[in-house]
Amino acid sequence: MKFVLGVDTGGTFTDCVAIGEDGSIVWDKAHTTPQDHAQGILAAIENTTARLGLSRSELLGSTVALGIGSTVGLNALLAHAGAKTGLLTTRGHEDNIFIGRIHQKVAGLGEEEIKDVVHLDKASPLVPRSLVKGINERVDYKGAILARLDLQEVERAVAELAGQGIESLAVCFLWSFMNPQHERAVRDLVKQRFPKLFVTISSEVSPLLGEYERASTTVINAALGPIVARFMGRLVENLRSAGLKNPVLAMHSLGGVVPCEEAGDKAAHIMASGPVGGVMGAMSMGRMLGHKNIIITDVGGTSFDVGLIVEGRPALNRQPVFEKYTLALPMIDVVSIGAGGGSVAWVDPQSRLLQVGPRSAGALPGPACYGHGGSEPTVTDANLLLGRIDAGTFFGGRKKLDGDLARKAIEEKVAWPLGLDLFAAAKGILEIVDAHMADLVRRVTVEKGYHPSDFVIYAYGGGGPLHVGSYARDIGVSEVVVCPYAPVFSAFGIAGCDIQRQYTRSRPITLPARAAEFNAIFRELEGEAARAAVRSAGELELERSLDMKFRRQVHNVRIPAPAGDLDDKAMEGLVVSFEQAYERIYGKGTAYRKAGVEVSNFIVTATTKTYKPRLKEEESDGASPQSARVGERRVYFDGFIATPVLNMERLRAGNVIAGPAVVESPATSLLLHPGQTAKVDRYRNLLVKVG
Amino acid sequence: MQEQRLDPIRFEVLRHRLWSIGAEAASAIKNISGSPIASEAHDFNTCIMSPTGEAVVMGPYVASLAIGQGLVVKTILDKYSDNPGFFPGDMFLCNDPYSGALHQNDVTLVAPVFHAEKLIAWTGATIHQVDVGGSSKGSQAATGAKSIFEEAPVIPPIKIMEKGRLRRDLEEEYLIRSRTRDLNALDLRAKISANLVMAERLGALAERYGAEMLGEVLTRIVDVTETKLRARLSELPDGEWRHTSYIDYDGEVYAIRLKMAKQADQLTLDFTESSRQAPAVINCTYSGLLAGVQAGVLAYLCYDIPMCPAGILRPLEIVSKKGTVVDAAWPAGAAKATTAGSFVSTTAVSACLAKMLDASDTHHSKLMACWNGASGQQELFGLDQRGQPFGSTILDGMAGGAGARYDRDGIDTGGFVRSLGCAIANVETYEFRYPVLYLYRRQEADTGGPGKFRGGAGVGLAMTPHDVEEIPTCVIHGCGIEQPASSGIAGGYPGSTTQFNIRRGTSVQERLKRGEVPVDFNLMDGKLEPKSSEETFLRKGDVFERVACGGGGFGDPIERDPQMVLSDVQNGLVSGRSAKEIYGVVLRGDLQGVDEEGTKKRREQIRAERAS
Repeated sequence: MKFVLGVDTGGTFTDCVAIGEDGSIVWDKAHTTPQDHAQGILAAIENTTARLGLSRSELLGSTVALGIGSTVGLNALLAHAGAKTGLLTTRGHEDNIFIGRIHQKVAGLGEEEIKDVVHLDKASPLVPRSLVKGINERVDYKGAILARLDLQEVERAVAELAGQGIESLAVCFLWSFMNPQHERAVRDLVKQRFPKLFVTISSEVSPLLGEYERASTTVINAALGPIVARFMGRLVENLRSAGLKNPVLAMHSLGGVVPCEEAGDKAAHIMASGPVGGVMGAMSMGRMLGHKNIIITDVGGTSFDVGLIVEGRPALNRQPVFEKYTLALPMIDVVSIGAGGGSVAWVDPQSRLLQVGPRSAGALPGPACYGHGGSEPTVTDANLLLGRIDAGTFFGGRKKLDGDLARKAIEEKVAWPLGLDLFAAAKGILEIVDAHMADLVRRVTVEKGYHPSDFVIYAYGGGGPLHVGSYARDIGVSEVVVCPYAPVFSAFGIAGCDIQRQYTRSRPITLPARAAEFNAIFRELEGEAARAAVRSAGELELERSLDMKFRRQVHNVRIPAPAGDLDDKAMEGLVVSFEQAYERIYGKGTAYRKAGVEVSNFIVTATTKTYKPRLKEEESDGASPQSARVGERRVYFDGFIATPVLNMERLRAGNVIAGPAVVESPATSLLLHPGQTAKVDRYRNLLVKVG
Repeated sequence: MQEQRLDPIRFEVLRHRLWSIGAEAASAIKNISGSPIASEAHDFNTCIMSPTGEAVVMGPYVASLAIGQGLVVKTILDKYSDNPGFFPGDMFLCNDPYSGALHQNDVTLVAPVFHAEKLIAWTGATIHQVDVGGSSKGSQAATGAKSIFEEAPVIPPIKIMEKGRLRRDLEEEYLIRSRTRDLNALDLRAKISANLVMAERLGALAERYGAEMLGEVLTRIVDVTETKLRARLSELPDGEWRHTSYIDYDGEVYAIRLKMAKQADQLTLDFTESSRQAPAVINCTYSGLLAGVQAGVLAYLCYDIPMCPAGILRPLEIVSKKGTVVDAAWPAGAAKATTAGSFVSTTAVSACLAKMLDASDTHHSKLMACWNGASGQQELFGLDQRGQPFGSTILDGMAGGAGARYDRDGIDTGGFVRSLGCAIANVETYEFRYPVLYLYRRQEADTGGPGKFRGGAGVGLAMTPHDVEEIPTCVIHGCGIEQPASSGIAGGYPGSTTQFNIRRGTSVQERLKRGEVPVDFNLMDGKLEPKSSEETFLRKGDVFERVACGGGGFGDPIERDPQMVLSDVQNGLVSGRSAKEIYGVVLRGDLQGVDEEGTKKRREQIRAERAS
């Protein structure tokens, strides 16, 4: 039997999902091995193999494609352990990445951190100022060369940097996306004269207007490139000797995969792929269930992450922030706040108000009930005290919880100071954290121009199914989906990704413009796409889009553009679809055509479909979930109620569960509030009516 | 509507929700606004106010704008309650500094929110507009104005939106004055949209929790903020501190004299001794003073206190005299208030608060010397490289240095303490939009105030017209040109001054053609013209230089770790000369190390000079 494998490296666990050609899904986990992620990946594959009753070489030998979601690059960035990198830039603009548009000091920070003015600082430099060299060269906004590059000067500068021990070189000249000639000349020279240096040029990694974000992206790509390339090389070697014959594919930030040989050159894209797997999982499940508008929510130990799928496409963040660097690197948008199982509840001493988060008790000491010495009450402690999770079955029984410690922490730190009843205090903690989650979901949806009530929520991560009944109801979402493999949803998503590359040209053009100009740019991009795709088997699908905005505006709206040669009528159509998209996001009457319309970027997305088995469907086994019932316990809603407990793995298609109920699986549990119901569908998803 | 009690849990849920609503409305503005001032510099804000105009929940951008909105609402309540009155779907536009706006460019739109025919709140949105008319392009410089009558037209609150309909006549009346009418029209829609977002969401909350509870939440937020700020004040030492900061303008120097007294949980800020008002331009009205004070208090004392303007103001007593530069009386002008009177009030407040923190054993570590204490601005108008008219504020002057801290240097190119979320545009963005070429944009040496910990460096840049024969209008107006505005603390030196210079008729174009990028303004040819405030022009070959002022230093510069001085010199933040003269650090000839012996001697010499 053929298999598709998806592997996701998380902070604690590495997950592996194997989808067989008969549509069966088998998964398992192994501990992540921070020293060398390849070990954890192989172990996770090994564990999954065991569940299939195959040998590792049998499984890998019949694997058609293996997708990897790797955090190796991101970890190196967070640990400031990138390769020693130099930067060549246009003379006079050497301080670009240090000035960081002055916004760098607050980039990516929350309100609470920004308020703490005295502790603000710029990013810790990825390239020290001493390794930045200004080169005499200048191109203008039209792409015209004002000052010609002198290759001898470049060679001297690179030699000097090499003498200081750089392993990697980033090159970012002003306006290089309009005219990449100078950057390419530098790259060619470096490849020839300094063949050991890894080199990234900005016009290749991020050909977009805006030298700060472009330079940040280039520098990050250069610093991580050698590390990602080495890791992938080693991993492939390991997998080959374990029997894998077919390609290893690396997940990137736009929700596709690329052959892992390209991973080093696309290190920045690979780095930003972390939370994307879950969104892709929701997207492929959404396709099967007919859901086009999905809010993806993931509740972990420290954070609450929200992604969005609109009309079947993931919403993008055009300028994500990593370590205070804003990148010109569109990625699938996943917005995060500090709200999760470990979020600490505390009473503000002056105002005597109950607050939850953003601080987390983390893994150590963790929630009070972990018994690792934590004395502060957390969301997990409140869940335990209210019977929403169970001391014995938490994490499949692998993590024993101490209810007395939870009680003591909430009593001393919340109930007594506020003069509240113990259970009211615990419920208050949950109400607050659930409301914060609801506020974020709402904001993320509304900011993109949509209403949450038009969406279905997919809940995953350890805490998603536990809290979703509450935050979904709060924002008016009526349907929630919990997948049986919610705990390994990212790996599931990665397994289903297609090979995808994106080609972008930043060409600011004010409309009306000549159709011929547009056609030429699109054809050029499509030519590039076709050349790169030669290496991948399968049919190439090309999709065009444009970033457009009103003249003088900063924020672009991306709209699809028709294939083939555009004529004048099609050009007018672009303006109309832009205005429609604009008004949908910003409200009726906000479009102001008199300001003029501008195109900023031309984009071609090239997709080669990978092999995907059809998932197994189950016949209905009747409505009664009786055979999945494992017991009953008291759970607090507006008071304690006797609540049935079911085992998620024993549920069968067609089963209907009426709340109140708790549905447990080893890594998560779904809480159904009174009045809510869940139905098990043919893929064994739980479809929850929130009401 | 449900009857519910406001317990601490419900309060926290609703408080967070209100904050979220403000942030949602702010992002509507950020997305719709056409101007880089809103979408990049983030010089805008939203606010949710109580029915009486208390500014309760502000959006996450410029704090001072929220205070102004509250004052505009109070003006409406005071003057227009019966005629023309206000009803559901109405919105009032205002840019009058005597009715709550900070200066004419800050065009504010406020709206009453009704639920079941009862007024439950007000909402507001303000964006700084590039141009709102008047004799001077960009409206702020108002060169030669003798009173507010020669400045940009003043619009006291007018009902531009009536029962949900934008009045075309009043919109035209507003737009026609501006040189950037398209931008202003887009921004007006952005503000309408922000107010609609807030009204809809507040209505939904009132529906679900009841209007009374919503009112109670607004009251409690103010109370909680007040309690927390009073608690903070109680932790700090009692005493009296003074600081004088200056506005140099049009050949005159105006003093802002602050006497700040702290007693128990009360802070009194007395500005009565400040200079008499100027005829126009640089004054601020009372709204600008409140905004200026609040900005300082927020940055220095409120690091863990909710950003609720009404609550912050409660423990403060602000004393001023009508007719002074910080509390102007009609018809004195205030066109440039936010970068003059109001801005420099923040500097004075910051300096006094830093001294108070310096006197505290427990809060010592929270002190900062002054962030860039004055601001220079530049506006360009003309035809762009495509022959289209353009008008723009070049916001790079915001990239001044931050104040040095108790244990660390100030942030280089840290920006304004009054608007921490602001950003300057990319060079490529400016060059695409306007006919200019940036020869350089960098962190300028010797701008950060020397100290044991150095003030942050300010930005330095040079630009020249590109692809046009001339830029006919280049408006320059700055403060802190004649005197350094960012004072140091505990022996730290002040940051550098703001600088504007033009070199006429240089050979930069020819040098570029030879493959050379000229980056040293001082060594360029062409006639040097130092500037302060004037309306001038730039022709092909002219080079315009500006330097933003640095932040103040902390502690004695001769106590600075010589290795830090070395790395500053290597990174171009301190010149070799200043290293030796001010820091007393002698470097090796190759600049790769410190001459320990030479440094010791030089520092002894400095001590001896001081003693004599």
